[in-house]
Parts: sequence; structure tokens; C-alpha cells
Amino acid sequence: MKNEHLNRREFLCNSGKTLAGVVVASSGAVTLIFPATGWSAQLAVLNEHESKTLLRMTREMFPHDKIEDKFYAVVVTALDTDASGNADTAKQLKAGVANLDKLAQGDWQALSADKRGAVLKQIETTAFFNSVKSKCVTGIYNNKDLWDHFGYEGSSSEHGGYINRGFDDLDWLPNPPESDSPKAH
Amino acid sequence: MAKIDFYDNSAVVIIGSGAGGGTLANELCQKGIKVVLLEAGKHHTIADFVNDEWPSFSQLAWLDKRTTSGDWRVAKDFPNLPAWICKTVGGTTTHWAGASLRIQDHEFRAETHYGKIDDANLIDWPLTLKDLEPYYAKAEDKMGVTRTNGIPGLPGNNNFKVMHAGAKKLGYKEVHTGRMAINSRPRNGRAACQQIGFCFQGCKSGAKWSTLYTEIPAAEATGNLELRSESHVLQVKHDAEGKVSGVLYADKDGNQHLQKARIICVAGNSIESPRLLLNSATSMYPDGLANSSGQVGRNYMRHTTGSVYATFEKPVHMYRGTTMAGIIADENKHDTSRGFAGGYEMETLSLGLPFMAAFLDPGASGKKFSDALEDYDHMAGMWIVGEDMPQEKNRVTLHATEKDQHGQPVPNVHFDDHKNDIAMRNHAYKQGTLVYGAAGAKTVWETPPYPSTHNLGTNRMSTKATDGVCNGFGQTHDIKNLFISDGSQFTTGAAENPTLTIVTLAIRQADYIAEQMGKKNI
Repeated sequence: MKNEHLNRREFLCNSGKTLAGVVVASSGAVTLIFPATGWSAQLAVLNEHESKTLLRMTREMFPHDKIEDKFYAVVVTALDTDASGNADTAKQLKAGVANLDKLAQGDWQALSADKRGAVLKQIETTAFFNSVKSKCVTGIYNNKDLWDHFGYEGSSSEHGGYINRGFDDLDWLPNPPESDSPKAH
Repeated sequence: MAKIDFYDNSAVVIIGSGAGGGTLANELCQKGIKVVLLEAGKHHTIADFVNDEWPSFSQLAWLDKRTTSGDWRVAKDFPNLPAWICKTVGGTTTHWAGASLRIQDHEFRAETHYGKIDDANLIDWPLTLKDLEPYYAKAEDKMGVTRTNGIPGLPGNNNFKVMHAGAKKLGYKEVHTGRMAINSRPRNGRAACQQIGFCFQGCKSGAKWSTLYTEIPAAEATGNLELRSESHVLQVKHDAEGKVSGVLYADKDGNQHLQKARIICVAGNSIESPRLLLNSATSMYPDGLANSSGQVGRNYMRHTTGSVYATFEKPVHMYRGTTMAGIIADENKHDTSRGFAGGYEMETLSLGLPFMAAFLDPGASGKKFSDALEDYDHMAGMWIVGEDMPQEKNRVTLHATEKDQHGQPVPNVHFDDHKNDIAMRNHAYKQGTLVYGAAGAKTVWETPPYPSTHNLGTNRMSTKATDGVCNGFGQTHDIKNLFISDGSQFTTGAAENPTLTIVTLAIRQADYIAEQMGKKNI
């Protein structure tokens, strides 16, 4: 899919913080695009409505106010990749979104936050919910671009570990006596 | 390295290169005995290890298919991952945290001390602490355990500071940075700990003892060892007399080989070891090898574990530094006024963000969960390690239909908590919560047990051949040249992290094997 073939319809998917976009080509193929950051990804299987629904659903399942939508879009993209390689997964995702709307008696996204949460609660034992959840657990918390946000420093051996970088820098509790915690070599 | 012919029937064949098998191989080689060491996993080096949880897990963990059943939560959350153990040269000594505690005298005589406990298949070990003391001393010296042999303790990290402050406020007495097989200063050609964290992902400094870079190269240097990695044993074979005579294994390309042997030692951890004996059934041994007692695969124990994580107003960065260098040992006693038999340890523990998300409350989602992870760098954590009850129904069996990549039935691991396990875990959760409360916690999480790393008991030692699989030297009651050399020989679980005792038993077993070979008894 080339850019010149895009039908420049852009839908705001408002997280309250970031301008997130879902761009749909005339062919119907969807690109998730975040103009402010230059991040975009083409989807192979999910349509516009499905991708927007999943984007909102992933944020509501693992809400982090200060994390931009594009990081949730990474999860949606990963779900789409799985779906493109597996017809059963594709079917599960599409049916899952349809079921959300059915339970919402309309567009699930259009409900109030409380009502969206109540519908999610109704489906939390389904395979669809679990698939999305598993993908979030790795897609959000194993995303190195987000580790700084969570205060996780990742690989340390190439920096010589923490022996000189704060392994014992906690200063808001008394230090244990040397009998219990000897000085470092 | 030695080259031992497939038809050479004079060597000892050891299956598994972890704490039991790797140590036994070195001890035998040092005595001039030829050893073929078969390891199902690849031969990685320290340079291969990565400080990154999921890639490391893919690199080191045993991921061959397994199934689960029973009321343990692992069966629901991780149905194909009953255990977090390793398939690599060095086995789970690449992944272990290094805590090295001796089993206590009363724990070796659990039946005598605890009395009859309903639904528990308790017996005493066929050996005592006194029998093991000289071997524990050798193991501690070999492994370089801190607070033994004049080796100083490790310096406490931030996670330990939180544990220590809370524990002392609560009145606990024995709180320190533990007895750890991690160098607090350079020793035996290995560096001092650099406080890297990532102890579970393979130690990048080599400060943590692992057979990968201690026992195995030492054994190779004798010229008596042939290590064959990516060699997955399928069956143990026996001769017409019923003695074991060789092993059938698949190499990395799936080609099968028969390696002859004088003696065979099984050290594949407590799931694979009984599985191998069961998969080796013949018309002479229709219930599997060494299984006249019917106890092969039974009495599966995994320690009464659990974790307590707490968040605080101020930062902790618990992941910095040695993962498990911190212990509260006061609860490791047999005091039934607490409502259960046996005791438990509380040890510092941390997970990186990726694994914290997977394990803090498996299957959880929603704001409470997200908020906890939002506080990740303000979190402290501890692991509970307690004695669980052996139960006959907790067992490793062969799956009726599922087969692995070699066409062998996969193991199913069944586990139901005993009511003693539940009472102990609840007590430990409460105490852990009090510890962190005393240190000023905002919120506390009681995290359920992870897939098991301490897998024990499925080929247990017993005095009587009807009660267990092997004697006090790990020699099977039924077949005198077949030995059990891993944690599956544990009669009961005790409350201590098991590696030190596995190494201790391997050193003692090597003496026994050499003596019996010398006498031409085996």
C-alpha cells in the first residue's frame, strides 16, 4: 500500500494526551498513524472499527495515563500480525470486537467509561479477552521504549552492574549493621 | 576432553549436567573414573547470557511440552509450564539464585518430628544431618558459600534494606544477606559479584556458582569426561539380568544412539528423571525402571512458595543487585502453635518489569494492576520458601496421548496443595505483609507461586524398598547400577533451597560409587 493511495480520512482516537490516528486506504486497509511522533504501522487484517476498538480496549485493560496511544497501538499491531498468520486468531479478534458491540447494543467505544468497563467485565473470561490481555502483558511491559517510564533500567552487565551505580543507594531507611550486610569488596 | 566409544561399557553415564549431574561428573572424573555426561540442552557460555528476561527464558528454560493438573494455580495460569527450570549445559545452576542453606536435623526426620499428618506420605530420610555434615562442608567450600569458610557475606542491596528494616521492627532476629554461592570477593578463579541483578538469567560475571563454568571444565581437565550436549535421553536400557546397560538418546539432528554404560546416574530434575524411568518400561519392568515400590513419579514436591511485593512512597529499585542476598530465617522451625508443621524462609526476590507483569498476579488486568506496575521502581519483594508435604497423588505421570518431538509421551505434573501447605503459605503471607507494613508499605501484593524451580521428591530415598525408589546413596533399590543423582531423591522437601543439598548428595554419592566400583559390587 502506497501513501498516494491513501484516502486521507483521519479519525481521532483521543486518549486525552496524544493525537492518534487511524487512516484507511480506499482499498479498506488500515494504517495506524501518530503524526506527532512519526510512528505508523499498516494493518493486514483488522478494519478501522476493529483497530480503534482494540486500541481503546488495550488502554482500558492496562490504563497508564502518561503512556501515549502509540504504545497501545504497538499491541494492536502485534495482534494484527498474529491474525495475518492465523485465520483462527483473525476470526477470534473480529468476533470479539463484534461481541463487545453486541453487548453494548451499539458501538462499545461510544459508551461511557463506566459502561465500557462493565462490558469488559462481562467478557473477561473469554478467549478473546485473554488473547488481548496476553499480548498487552508483553506488548506494554516488555517494550524497552517504555522501561524508562516505569523506572526499570534493563540490562546492566555492560555497565558493570550496579556495584558502583546505586545497588544500595536507598537512604530513607536505616542502614543494616555490617554484621547483617557487610561492606562491598 | 575424553572420547568414549558408544560400545564402551566401562564408563559411568550421567544424564543431566546441573547441580547433581555436573557435580557428580566432576567428582567421579577427579577419582579417575570415565564419565559420559549427556545434556539435552545446548552448550552456552557466559558470553551468551543476556540481561533480558524473555530472550533469556527462551535461551535457557526447558520449553519442551509438559501438561499440568490439580488445584494449583500454575495449572490454570501456565498449563504447559509447571516448572521454570533449564535445558542447557549447567542445567538449572545457570538460573538458580545461589541461596545455600543446610537442611536442619529435624527436617531429615520429618515423620519422627512432625508425627502422622493426614494425607501426607511422610517418612524419615535414610540418613541424618550428621551423615551429611562432612559433605555439606565440602560442598560449601566447593561452591564458595558466603558466611562459611571465612567468606564474608554479600553487601545488602536496596531490596534487602527494606526487608531488614521491616523485619527488625517486627522483632525478627536472624536477618542478613544470606548464605550465598555467589562470590563476595574473588575466589577460585571467579570474580566477585558486580551487583548486576539478573541472577536468574545466567550470571554474566561468573560470581555465582554454576556447574557450567566450575565442575564441568574441571572434569574436562582430568581427561576423563566426555560431555555431549544436545543429547536428549529417551530410554534407559537393561540387560537380561535386569541391570542397566546403556541409554538410548537423540542427538541434535534427531539421530538416535545407544551409549553403553557400566553405571547410569539419572539427574534430569524431578520431572524428567521419573519420566525417563517410566518411559523406559519393558516386559521385565512393566511399571518402569526401579519402580517396584510404585513410588516413581509420586510425592512430587515444589516447596510452599509464594511472594509478597509491596510498594512504598519512596524509590527502592529492588532489581538492582544480587536477587536473593537477603533472608529472614526466624520462621524456619517446627512450631505447630503457628497452625502447621515445618517452617519457611523469607528471602529477597525481584523480577524485572517484563516478568513482574507476567507473574505479579497472572491473568490480572485493570487499574489496580496497572497502578502497581506504575510503582515498579518503588517496589520491594520477597519469596517464601517453605516445606510442603509429600503426597502420593502429587505426581509426574506419562500423558496418555501427547508426545514430544522425539515421539515420547510428555510428562503431566499433578499438584494439589496440602492443607498444611495452605496454612503455612497464609502464615507467611501475613508475616511478609507485616514486615513490609513495618517498613512503611503503601500497598501489599500476595503473589501466587510461580512455575516451580524447586522440584523434588519424585524418586525418593527410603530405608525400606517398599517406601521409595532409592537408598541413602541414591542407589535404586531395584537395580544396583542405577542411581538417582538430583533433587528427585529428596525424601521430604525441608524448608531450604535445595541446590546445596543436591551438590552435597552428589559428592557423597561419588564416594559411594567409587567404593562400590572398587569392590566390584557394581
